[in-house]
Amino acid sequence: MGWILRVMVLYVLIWGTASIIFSRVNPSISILLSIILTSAPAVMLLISVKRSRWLLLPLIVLILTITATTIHIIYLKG
Amino acid sequence: MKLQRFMCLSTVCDEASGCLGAVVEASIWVVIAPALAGFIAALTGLGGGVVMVPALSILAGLDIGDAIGLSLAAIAVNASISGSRYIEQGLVDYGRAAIYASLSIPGAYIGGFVATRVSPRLLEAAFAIFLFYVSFTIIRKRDSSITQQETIEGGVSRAYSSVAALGAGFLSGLLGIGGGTVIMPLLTLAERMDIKRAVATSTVIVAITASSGFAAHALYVPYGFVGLVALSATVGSFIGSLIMIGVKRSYLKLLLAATLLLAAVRMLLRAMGG
Repeated sequence: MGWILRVMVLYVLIWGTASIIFSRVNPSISILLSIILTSAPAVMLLISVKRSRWLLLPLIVLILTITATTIHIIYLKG
Repeated sequence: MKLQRFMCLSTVCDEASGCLGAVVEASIWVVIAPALAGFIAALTGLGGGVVMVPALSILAGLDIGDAIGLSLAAIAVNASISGSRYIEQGLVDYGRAAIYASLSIPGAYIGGFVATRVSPRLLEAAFAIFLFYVSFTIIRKRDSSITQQETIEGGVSRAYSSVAALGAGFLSGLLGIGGGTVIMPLLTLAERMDIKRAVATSTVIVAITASSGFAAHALYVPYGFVGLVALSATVGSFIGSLIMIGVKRSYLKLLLAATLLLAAVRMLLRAMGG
């Protein structure tokens, strides 16, 4: 298992577990934890971008999409 | 045996009054169904979303819109782990992955947006039709191996490929699937890519597409279940990948096709008010 895969597995385990725990303890931040967890592909692109600059393109588009959604959620939740 | 009930808050957002909390209930199938879907996907090499959405909707009793959102979350997480492995192995065509993923991201967001606006019955009917198509394709091609490759004489134009990538993203966001059903033929037929490279590149594209599709559903999905569903699917997929060697795929595919056909009929009947 290389370091990219190790980072991704740890990322998913940590944020997935946090999402499950906080859905019981503090549901209001659970939605943000869900977004962090499902941003795993963006993390995959970020840590792989050294292998090819091409990956910057979808990374930027995806980050913009996720950021816009997060801002929208925070705005609606007040 | 009394089934444990899982409950979580779902955010239902309204532009006028902000976000309201609604309690969403689901049976223990909300944990079992994604694990089963990931397991079957790894075993058969077929998309997890195709199994996960009906499993969450029929077995776990979730609304079809919630099932689609949760399926996208599981696909994004699971495919990013698989994609990382392929990146390490040097199998991904980065240029094509970047272009097709960048086109499918807005498609997925639009598809997800549409899914959260149309009636659940329409979504169920659309998904049922898709399941019929997938079932018949599986039955037709059940004996084909992953090494067999078809090509189109002369390839297809870049404009067609671009529209197809957008369409793949739209389907992904709308139905909660990965989009591999469109992306794989695009890479193998239009781009004439080697099968292994196509699978690796498609996995990276699917991960990115699903993440964007989930973003469109994020306001409405029962977010308390996202971690559960994503981790269950990943564990199921891991177990499936461990035992897939030595399993006769054609029988499994036939069984899967039959199950999907039954699910398609059930969803169509529900859509028609049965």
